[in-house]
Amino acid sequence: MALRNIIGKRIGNGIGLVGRRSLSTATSDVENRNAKSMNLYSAINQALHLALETDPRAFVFGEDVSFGGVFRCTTGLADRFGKARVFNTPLCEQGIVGFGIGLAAMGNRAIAEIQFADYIYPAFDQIVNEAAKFRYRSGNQFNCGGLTIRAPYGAVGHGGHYHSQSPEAFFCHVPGIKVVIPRSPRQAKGLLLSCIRDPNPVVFFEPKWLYRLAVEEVPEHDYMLPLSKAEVIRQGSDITLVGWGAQLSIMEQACIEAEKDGISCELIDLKTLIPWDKETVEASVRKTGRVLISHEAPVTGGFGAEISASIVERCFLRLEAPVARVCGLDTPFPLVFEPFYMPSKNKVLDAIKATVNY
Amino acid sequence: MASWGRRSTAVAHHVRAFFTANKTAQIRIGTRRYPFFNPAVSSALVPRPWPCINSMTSLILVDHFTSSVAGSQADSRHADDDKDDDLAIDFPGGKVAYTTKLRFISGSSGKRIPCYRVLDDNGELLINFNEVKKELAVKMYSDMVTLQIMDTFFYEAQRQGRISFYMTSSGEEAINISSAAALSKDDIIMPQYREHGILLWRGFTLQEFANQCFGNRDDVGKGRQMPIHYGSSKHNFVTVSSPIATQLPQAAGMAYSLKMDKKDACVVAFIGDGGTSEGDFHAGLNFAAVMESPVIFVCRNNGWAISTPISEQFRSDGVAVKGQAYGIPSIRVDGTDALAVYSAIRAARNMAVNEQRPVLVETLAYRVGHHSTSDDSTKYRSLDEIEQWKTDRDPVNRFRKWIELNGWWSEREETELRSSVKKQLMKAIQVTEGRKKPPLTELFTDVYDLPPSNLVEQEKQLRETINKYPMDFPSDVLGPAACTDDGDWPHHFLLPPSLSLPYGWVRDRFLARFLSLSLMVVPYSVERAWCSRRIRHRPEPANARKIAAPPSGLGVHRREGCFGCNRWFSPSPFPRRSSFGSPVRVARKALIASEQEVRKLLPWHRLPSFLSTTSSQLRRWRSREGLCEGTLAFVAVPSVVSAFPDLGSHGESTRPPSFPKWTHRWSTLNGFPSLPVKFPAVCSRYDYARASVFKALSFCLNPFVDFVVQTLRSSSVFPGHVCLCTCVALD
Repeated sequence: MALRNIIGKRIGNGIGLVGRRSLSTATSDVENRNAKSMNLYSAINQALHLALETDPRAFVFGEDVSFGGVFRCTTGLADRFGKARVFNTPLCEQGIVGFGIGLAAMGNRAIAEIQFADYIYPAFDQIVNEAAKFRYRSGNQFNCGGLTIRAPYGAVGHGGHYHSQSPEAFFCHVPGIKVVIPRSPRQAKGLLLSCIRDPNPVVFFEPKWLYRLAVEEVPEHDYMLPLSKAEVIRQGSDITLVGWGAQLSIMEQACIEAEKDGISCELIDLKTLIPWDKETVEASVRKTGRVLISHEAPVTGGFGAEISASIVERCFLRLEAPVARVCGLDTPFPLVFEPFYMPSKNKVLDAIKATVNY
Repeated sequence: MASWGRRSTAVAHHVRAFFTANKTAQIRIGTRRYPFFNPAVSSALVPRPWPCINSMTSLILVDHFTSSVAGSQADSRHADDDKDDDLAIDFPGGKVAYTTKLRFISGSSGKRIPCYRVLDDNGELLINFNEVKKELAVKMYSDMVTLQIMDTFFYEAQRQGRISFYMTSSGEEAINISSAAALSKDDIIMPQYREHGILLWRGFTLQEFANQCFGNRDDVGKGRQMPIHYGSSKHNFVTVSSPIATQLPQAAGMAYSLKMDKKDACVVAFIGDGGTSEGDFHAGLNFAAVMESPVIFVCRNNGWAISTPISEQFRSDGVAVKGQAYGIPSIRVDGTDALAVYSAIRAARNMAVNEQRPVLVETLAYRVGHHSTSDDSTKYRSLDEIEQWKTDRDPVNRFRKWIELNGWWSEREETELRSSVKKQLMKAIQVTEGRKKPPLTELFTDVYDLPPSNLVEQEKQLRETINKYPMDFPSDVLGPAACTDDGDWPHHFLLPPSLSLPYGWVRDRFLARFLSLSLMVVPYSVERAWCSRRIRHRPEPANARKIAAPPSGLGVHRREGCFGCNRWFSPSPFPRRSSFGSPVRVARKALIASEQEVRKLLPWHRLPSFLSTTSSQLRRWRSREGLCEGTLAFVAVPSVVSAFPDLGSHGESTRPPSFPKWTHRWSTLNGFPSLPVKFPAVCSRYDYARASVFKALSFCLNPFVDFVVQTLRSSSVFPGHVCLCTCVALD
């Protein structure tokens, strides 16, 4: 797999990020010919344009989406598709998701935006008790499968407690919804279109640090990437690294560093957290015999724990070292201490070495 | 600006005039003149210096405030109110008038919002009202009565342990039925959980209600939710979910979709008084108002949220007053007056659909019943209070008085209606109890549109566990058909509707043995059940295989129609149905294969004498137990002794019952209402009650049972397998 232009260290230097970076997906030359270099928010924006264009029953709404959104993801949508299909809502997350469920239950594609994943908790009840169970509890008479909830998640260098959280694990405990996190612009566009068109409610977390930072060739046309399919983005033979979203770039840097020490790392992007692709991870661990999982969310009860348990269940006799987890600390997400909190490249690198030399 | 100024001045004058005349005049008095004012006007009205503020309060507040905001109010000392009133701040959302008077609008009003009604307590019209004609009125009344009786039946069914839970609409029948009557069938209902009368009105049958409450395989919700969590896409009734108020923002979204589609319909969202305290209440009303969604919010204020009275729920004047804060027209209606509810909901619907905006309706009707079957409301409110509401303000009685006054209803019709509804309900409950539970696959479907790999894997694991420990799981979900789609096959001719197989019958070989044994040992049940239920109504199948009577003079002793036909020993009387799946075919093969073996084993000459004894004893037993003619059959069930070690050959055990709920449930085999539960001191691990029924019969069957059991135990065909007899009630 081609991994190009990895520039800059996200963590460890106070300024944050530098320049272009990309974690690209292998694509055919044909696609690349029509591809345009763009950052993640533009890719999202393009996906939303396509979603609204291809389905007259699609709606985009949330706090401040009308003028383009605080991250500019909805730029130009209201002008192009009208205030009836792209609109602001009152500042009320449970209302946004509830409204979206109702809209989706009537056969529409409701694309709701929660301004920050940190503020999704008021909507937790609507997501967990309503959206996730809508189909099941009615015996498939009703469903809100057209609902997609977009929310920017994760560290951004200066977000503190309430603009940095990674709440994915909460939602991974809820049968009935899907949780998807893209790692790059090209992925974001394809996965978001899949989520919007998937007949199940999806929570789509966007790595906000990468909104402007990640730049990649993104095909112009309408394409979808499969859900519940993990991707091996770097082949290796000594250890398997599993991650998702923005953390993958950190892990990728660690892989490159490790390679200098002669450690060959296989890097897997899970993409869909539930229902997740156990088979791909399992196959990789069977090959390498070691696994490391890394995410920004606190380590305790994080989704890494689930992956770890599943791998131990399936590959116990093949494992040559304990499963390693390099994650956020079990503290609230800090401001000044963010560089200490984060599962940084060297933390990952150390864990790779420790696991390989176990 | 000018016109606004004139209007506001006019209103202010009006209010002042009123205030002078009536010291308790309130905000509403002014705005009521514009009951459904548009936002432009309302924004102009709201910030007016209300003269209605309690003067004492305002004085205190002024004193308190002067010091803190003295600077900013420097000019208020000498400002001329009227002059300043004409000035306004042009703020986002509309112009707001200035005032120099430091006044807070009152948090509570001295005079409460009145309650709209049409009928007085004696069922006589208070105004000229002709919206409801005879046909509609009679249907409304009939459905209210049906709702009442249905509630009583299901409530009792819960008390008998037949269903796990129930909630009645007692006291709120009129809200249910009248609002349903006032709406169009295209209007989408977002219920809370006490609105099943609407479904009833829309044609959801009593059988369908029963199916949901009993959670059988005909329940459209696939037995996944507690009783009363109805839902029917056919009837535009969105499935009930227990969390409170979550349906309100959803209603706003649904209605927005209707609006986009330019449908002539609205969404009607229900909620109780307690639900208004939820954040979703605010979210729902606010979203609907801002998005201008055609929603009718109906708040059934019944005075109680489980045990919390409304005085501990909110300090506002009920719920209707809250609508105004969201810019939603609101009304308070007497929920025990069917006509008032009807006309209010109809007006609300017109407004919602024609003006594309939300409306709030607060209905007042005391919750006469308990919150649910899990609640005993006498613990927190007096019986007298409940009784008083029940007797004095019963909405159904009140409406009946009105239709009787009109000459549309008589005692005779009342009796007919009640007995017919009761019959339908008895039948519905009987039928539903005989239906099987939804198949196990439904546990895993519908979580997503398609089951993902983890669910496929988990289903496989679970089935392995079931095969290993079948007795741990309820048989009515598994049954012999768990591995097939044969539907209700075993019920049709082997088992009565009220009984399904014990937990173990999931494996084909068990099924095969079961079939062969039951046919072999129990010609009585098969023949009787068969003859009475099938052959009588259907021509004998052409391909029926006639078999000669068994040897040893069976024919001579054939009595009482027990051996009414010659096919008792053959599987062929069962019509060949193409839907028969593989387990059945396996069973048939096994049956035919074992036929000759069994014939050799059992000296058939003993059967007739046994049966002749039995049938008369059965009849006696039947009459003693109060079962009607033709209700009895029995089947013999083979069992592996090792699988049920706590069962003796007669199904007796000294262990205490370990599944009291099941026990209770199985005790009521003979239809509704049930016999008093009479359990002998026996139980079984998997089916206590059935074993007890068995015991009730075993005295008359013992000689035969012992004989069969011993024969089979010692046989080479069924080594170690014991035959148990169990008696069941038919019809």
